[in-house]
Amino acid sequence: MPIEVENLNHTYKEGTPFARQALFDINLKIDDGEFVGLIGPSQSGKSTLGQYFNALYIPKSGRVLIDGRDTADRNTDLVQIRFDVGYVFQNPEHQLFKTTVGEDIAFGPTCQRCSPEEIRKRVREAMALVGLDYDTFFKRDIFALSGGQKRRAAIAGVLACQPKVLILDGITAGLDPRGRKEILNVVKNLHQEGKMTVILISHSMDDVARLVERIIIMDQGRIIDDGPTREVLTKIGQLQQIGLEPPQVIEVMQRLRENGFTVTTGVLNIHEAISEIVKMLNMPGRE
Amino acid sequence: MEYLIDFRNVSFTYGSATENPVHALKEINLRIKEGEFIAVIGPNGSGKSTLARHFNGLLTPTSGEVLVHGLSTTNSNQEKQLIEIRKRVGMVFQNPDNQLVSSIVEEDVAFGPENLGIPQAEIRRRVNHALATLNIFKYRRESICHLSEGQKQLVAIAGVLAMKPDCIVLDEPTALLDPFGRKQVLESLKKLNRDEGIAIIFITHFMSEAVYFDRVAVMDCGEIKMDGPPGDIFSQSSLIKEVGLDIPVAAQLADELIQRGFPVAPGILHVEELVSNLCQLKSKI
Amino acid sequence: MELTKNLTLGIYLPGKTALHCLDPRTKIAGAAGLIGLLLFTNNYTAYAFFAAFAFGLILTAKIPLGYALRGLKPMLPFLAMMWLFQVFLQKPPGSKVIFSWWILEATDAGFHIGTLMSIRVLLLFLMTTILTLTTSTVELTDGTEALLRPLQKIGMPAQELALTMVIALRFVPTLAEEAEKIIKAQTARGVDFKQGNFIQKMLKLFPVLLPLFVNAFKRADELITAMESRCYTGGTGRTKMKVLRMGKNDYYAWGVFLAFAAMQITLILTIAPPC
Repeated sequence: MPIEVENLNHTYKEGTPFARQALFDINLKIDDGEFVGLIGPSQSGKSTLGQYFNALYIPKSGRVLIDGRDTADRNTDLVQIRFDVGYVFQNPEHQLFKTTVGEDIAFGPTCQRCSPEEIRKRVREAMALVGLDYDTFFKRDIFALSGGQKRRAAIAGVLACQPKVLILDGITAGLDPRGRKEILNVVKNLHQEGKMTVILISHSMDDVARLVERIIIMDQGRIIDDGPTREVLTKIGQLQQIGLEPPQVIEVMQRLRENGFTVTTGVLNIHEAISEIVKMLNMPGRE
Repeated sequence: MEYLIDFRNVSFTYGSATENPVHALKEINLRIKEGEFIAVIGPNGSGKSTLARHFNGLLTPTSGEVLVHGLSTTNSNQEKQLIEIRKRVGMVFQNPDNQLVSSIVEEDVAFGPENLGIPQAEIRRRVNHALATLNIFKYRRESICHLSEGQKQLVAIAGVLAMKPDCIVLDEPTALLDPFGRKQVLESLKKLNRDEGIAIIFITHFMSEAVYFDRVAVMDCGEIKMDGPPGDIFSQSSLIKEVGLDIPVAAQLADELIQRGFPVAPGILHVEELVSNLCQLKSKI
Repeated sequence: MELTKNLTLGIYLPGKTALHCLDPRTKIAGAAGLIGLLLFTNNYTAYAFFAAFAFGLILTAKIPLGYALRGLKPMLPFLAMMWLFQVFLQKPPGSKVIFSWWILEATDAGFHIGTLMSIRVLLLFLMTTILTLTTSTVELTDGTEALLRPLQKIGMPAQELALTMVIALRFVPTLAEEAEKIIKAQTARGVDFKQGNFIQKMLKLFPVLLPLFVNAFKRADELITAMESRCYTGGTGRTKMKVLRMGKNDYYAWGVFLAFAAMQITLILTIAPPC
């Protein structure tokens, strides 16, 4: 289900004295099965753009096509688009409103008027995908979940609508390292096993670098870079300029390079960095 | 010697002793001197927020005692003593939106001093000083809802600063901020510590932040597992991993290299240290 | 979908116009006086005069006219309903039937009562909006507190009331933003808030209001902790950073107000109501 954005502009509170343009002439295409990181500092417009992908915003200037369907077209079934493109918001646990985990996850399919068997099947599948054991958690009170578990329950709630594209906005915010790792593993699994198109909206480079294949960098409502992860992340100066922290492994390589070593800066994790450094240390002499 | 803050065998239990007691703090001993710059780090549920609430008597120990400048938080059923403690120990919380009282920046910063009954001219002086120190003076007339999360958190810190505390406790103040906001807050705290001599107790679960502090206490399961300079703490990588925290990238790389037999110096925390160390190493080979 | 876009009541539009710079006590008392006048106004000429004065205030405060009027928009359905009720249900003796359909009969008196009432509500809302657009929430509460202070002697907790107001107003944008986010999140899960009849629509609000309330309580709890940490112990013994002072402009404003009130009262008394 490809997403195409053409010449998209967005203004907040249009027509009021507080009006502020949030998106400037965005052009973008995301293909089936891609794993994309949409990165930018807060207020860069990344969440606003994301909300166009599932028709929460409808373009007034420019076009958004979801699988060829124009979201601004009167005949387009927007509810169907929202089922096709799932969106998990920042602090999704704030949007859980049923008392038990199972009921909350069932909310989406219930809105879709699925049969009770179908609902049960989907809830079971969704819980399996996010690693919440059905028997343990189905009847569990939502308020009794840990932060990481609440987030997984919220993702399951969106997965139960059987989306083909999944947008995750600030999914690791406020979690401790263990919680982060858990949730990112779930996300990775959704892409690899679930064959979903996944779009991660984040301001944390470290989360994203390990996972995604393509990175789109936004700043002040504009796309300033778009390309394969390795390529985008090695442009450290550009990242720092807009207030993002490049992954530290890349920073190390960059510094070594500045000190006259021939190393590649295109490393994404500790292992790649180590093998580069070892290679460098084992090389005879200094060039 | 009198400590700024002295936790003596502090235990705290949520719930009643008979029904599902949760032992959030177990026999904590922690002493903090004037002007210290310390990070308390631990995973979620390790008891660090409960610990934070003991610093100014929001919670009082089930057993043991917390002394602030020799004043016990427990015997403070006299309101006066509690006010005295809270004047000295300022508190900043995770969500800036839930701790700001007024919608205008300077009015919010004035809230604390107003509560203390300080004369008008002095409040004005303190508010201006606090705003200037944190570099947000130009936003003094702004509405809170027009600020970024990072700026809001600076307003919260200014509000505490205007009460002229000896010490500021911050409970995960950066958890909801973006990298830029996080940097702003950390740099401001460093400045407060250096220029105003205010002790900073910074609670976090980010290792990458803890490395900027002079002292790091690691909490897990209601206990303080490690306490010392960050270099010492992070060289015990297996212990850190056991607690479920991550190790700064530079320390991880150094560790891996040491394991592979390269003579890298121990206790490396920052990228710069690692790079200069590798440069030395290479020139020796 | 922007919930906060059409919200003008309670929003402050920063500025430095004469109206912005008045002492909040002047503005609050003045607005109260004007609203009082409005309640006694009973003919079209007087309303027209009042409306002209209101637009004069909007111009003085440099509020974009479209923005000020936009805030009236959400009220229109309610007003229309109220108007219809008046038109078809008011049948004072001696009134003439001007329109009838099926069992419904509209009278001329009903028409006038409905119209006058709608104008009154619109102007009332407009006055309040002008007040809040030109007066920051903090000034508003400071002003209210100062005006209520004499009542403290008879047990009115003026300071506490003022602080409650400060906090309530402080959280309006925060909660509006949050409601917007929750609505979006539920929309993303397939709720269509625009479809269905009235009752269905109300039922759909449940998944929005519940998390909103739960979060509001959590926020309140955290706020209380933060206030305690900042040594709040109640109104007694508190000082204020800002002390209100009336200036020359305030006396001019009172002059303008009195002149207007005199004219308005004359219009009310001399012109007969249309029904």
